[in-house]
Amino acid sequence: MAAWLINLLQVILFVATAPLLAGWIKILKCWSQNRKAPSIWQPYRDLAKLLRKETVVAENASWIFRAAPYVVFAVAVLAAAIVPLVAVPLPTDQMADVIVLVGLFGLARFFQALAGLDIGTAFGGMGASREMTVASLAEPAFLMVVFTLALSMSTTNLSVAIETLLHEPITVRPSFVFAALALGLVAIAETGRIPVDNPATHLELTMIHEAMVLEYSGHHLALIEWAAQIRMMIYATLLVNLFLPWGLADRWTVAALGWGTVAVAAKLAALAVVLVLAEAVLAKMRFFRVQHFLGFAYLLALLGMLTHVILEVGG
Amino acid sequence: MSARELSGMGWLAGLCFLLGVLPTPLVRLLEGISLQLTGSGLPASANRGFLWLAPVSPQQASYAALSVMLALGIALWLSYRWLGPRHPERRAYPWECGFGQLTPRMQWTATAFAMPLRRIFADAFVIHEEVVKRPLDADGLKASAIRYRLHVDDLLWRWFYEPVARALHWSVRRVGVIQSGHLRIYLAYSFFTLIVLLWVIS
Amino acid sequence: MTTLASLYGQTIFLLSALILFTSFVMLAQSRVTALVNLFALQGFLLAVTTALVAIVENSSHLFLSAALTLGLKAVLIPLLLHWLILRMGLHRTTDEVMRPLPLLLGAASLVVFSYYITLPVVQLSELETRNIIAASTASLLLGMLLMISHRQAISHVVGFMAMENALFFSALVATHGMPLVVELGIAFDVMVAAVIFGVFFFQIRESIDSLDVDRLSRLAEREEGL
Repeated sequence: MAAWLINLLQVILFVATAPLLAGWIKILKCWSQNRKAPSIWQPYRDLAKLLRKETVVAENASWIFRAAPYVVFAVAVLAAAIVPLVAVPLPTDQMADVIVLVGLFGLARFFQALAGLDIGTAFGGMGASREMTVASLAEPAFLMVVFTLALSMSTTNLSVAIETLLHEPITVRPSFVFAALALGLVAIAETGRIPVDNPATHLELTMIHEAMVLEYSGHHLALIEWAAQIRMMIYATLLVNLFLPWGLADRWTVAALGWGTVAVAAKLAALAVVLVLAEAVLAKMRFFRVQHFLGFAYLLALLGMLTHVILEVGG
Repeated sequence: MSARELSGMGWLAGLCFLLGVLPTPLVRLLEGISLQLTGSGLPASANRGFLWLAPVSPQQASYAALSVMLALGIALWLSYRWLGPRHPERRAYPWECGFGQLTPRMQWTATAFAMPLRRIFADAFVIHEEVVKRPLDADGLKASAIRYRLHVDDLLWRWFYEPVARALHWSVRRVGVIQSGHLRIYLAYSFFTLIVLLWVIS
Repeated sequence: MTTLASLYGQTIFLLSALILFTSFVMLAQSRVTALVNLFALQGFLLAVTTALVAIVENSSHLFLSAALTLGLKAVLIPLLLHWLILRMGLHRTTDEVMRPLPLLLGAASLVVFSYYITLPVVQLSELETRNIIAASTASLLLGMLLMISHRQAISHVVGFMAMENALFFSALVATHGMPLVVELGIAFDVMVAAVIFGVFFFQIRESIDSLDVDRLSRLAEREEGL
């Protein structure tokens, strides 16, 4: 019973602090560009403002357009329930494993693409088609990372994998190094950061994710933006907790949970620094170069799996 | 679309949904195949009821489809309750970039949707694409009519099925010599059949 | 002998995976200077791996091999190649592979293939570094693939040197390292080969005016006095 309570608290923490991570990334980006940064609570104010505003819906919008933001948000919250943030043996991981996580992301993407096509304007369709193309290239790489992990830990259950890693002595595995790099590249592509997509662009022809949600306003837009922030945090947490899991709580005492929170906050803040540095150095790629980027991610993940089989098994 | 047209696709979609949400009965039905082929099916731990699908053990991979569906429904309802509309939504004309009325012809079609995929995976298809413009001025920059034609062939058809068909036709032509009508060919045919049968018996 | 589950052992495995990774990245490179830099990086990683294996197996002649590899393959030959590139103005030519992704996926399947062909050797060997034999064989095959897939002559030289790197690496992980006399002989041969390559580059450039080896099969376009 305590496990379910901890799980619920973790979901609430996840959903509540996702805008905080987005705010921290925004601050770092402004610092790297020598601009004055907004406060770290600004995303919360933006969400509150959007929730209060009047929602304008196109005349020819169908029920899909109005239902999609709720589906996207609900899926993001469910995905947050599966990924261990602070404590490790989560009971929800016995109901859904990593492959279900990939499927949930696919469900959200499906509804978003349909909503983009719904109004019949050109930009929505373009955003939907590009997003589906990027996803069709990124999912094999993501699944290959999952397979590498599953081969090493012989499980696809996230809690069990992280717990096994926590209790082992520190080992440097080449397959994990390659899988972490591949997951980083996939996370950049799926959350729409530079070099795949510029989240701050105003030019519609360069948009991928923003073009799909161009028609949304008011509380719909608040839900979609929040869901995007939660997704960013899910990818960051996966990267940080799967490959550097030390600090996570595996007992449910207040001290262990406190340490877990502090550890994951520090790790996420450091990951944000790495992300912003990478964004400052790279330029956005042409859309048809994204296939090489994601092909490289797939190759890294494949190499990770091969080095696991060749170097780490037997002997 | 009328309800009858939608129900044709609708019941198929509904069945897919049902199978996705309750996968265990179908997997149990298909278990017979894997039992015959490999000698092992789902272990007894998958017997936790029709809610769970755990192919090896709950520690290694498990999926409770109905629970995930219920959780999704609860999350949807809660997000509608708490983050739903405070005021009635206002309807307005969609923004059309200043081009005037939106027509159905301006919509993104399936061909357009698949264009990036066609371009990226071009090696897996045989694509014939042509754009024919009827120009208005000498530079060819303004056109009075533009036609676009796209035809995608299957690569396997060209590389596998057609050679097989050609080989079949060649062998059939060779065998058809027997049916040509010459008397001596019939006699030779019966002679060789007799020799083969005698050899098989001995 | 310490078992390779210790920190040294894990570092050796990590470095061998990185050496294999540099072979992959070399395959997809289109800039010639980047290719030579990657080759220098591979030589450096190889020297560090040799030094670590020398520490684990307590053999002193491997330290000498490591120093030789560092001096020759990570410093001297890359410097020579860079001088050659600058002399011939090759730093502006690109050596683009037509389709990098199928090439890289083919390289991955070569890794699987080398795993299968070295499986009997791995099962019989008693050294702790035996798992790396497949990775070193794969680096050898990838070096040869580099020679096949690139058109500029300088990439051929780098591919040849990468193959020699991989052979040294295989000898390191499959046996206790080659005898020092053999090492010195091979190193001297490689130096001489590099010098001869350099001389030949000037000759080829004079006769066909470029270093693209596909042009070697074209007939001369000069009037020969019909």
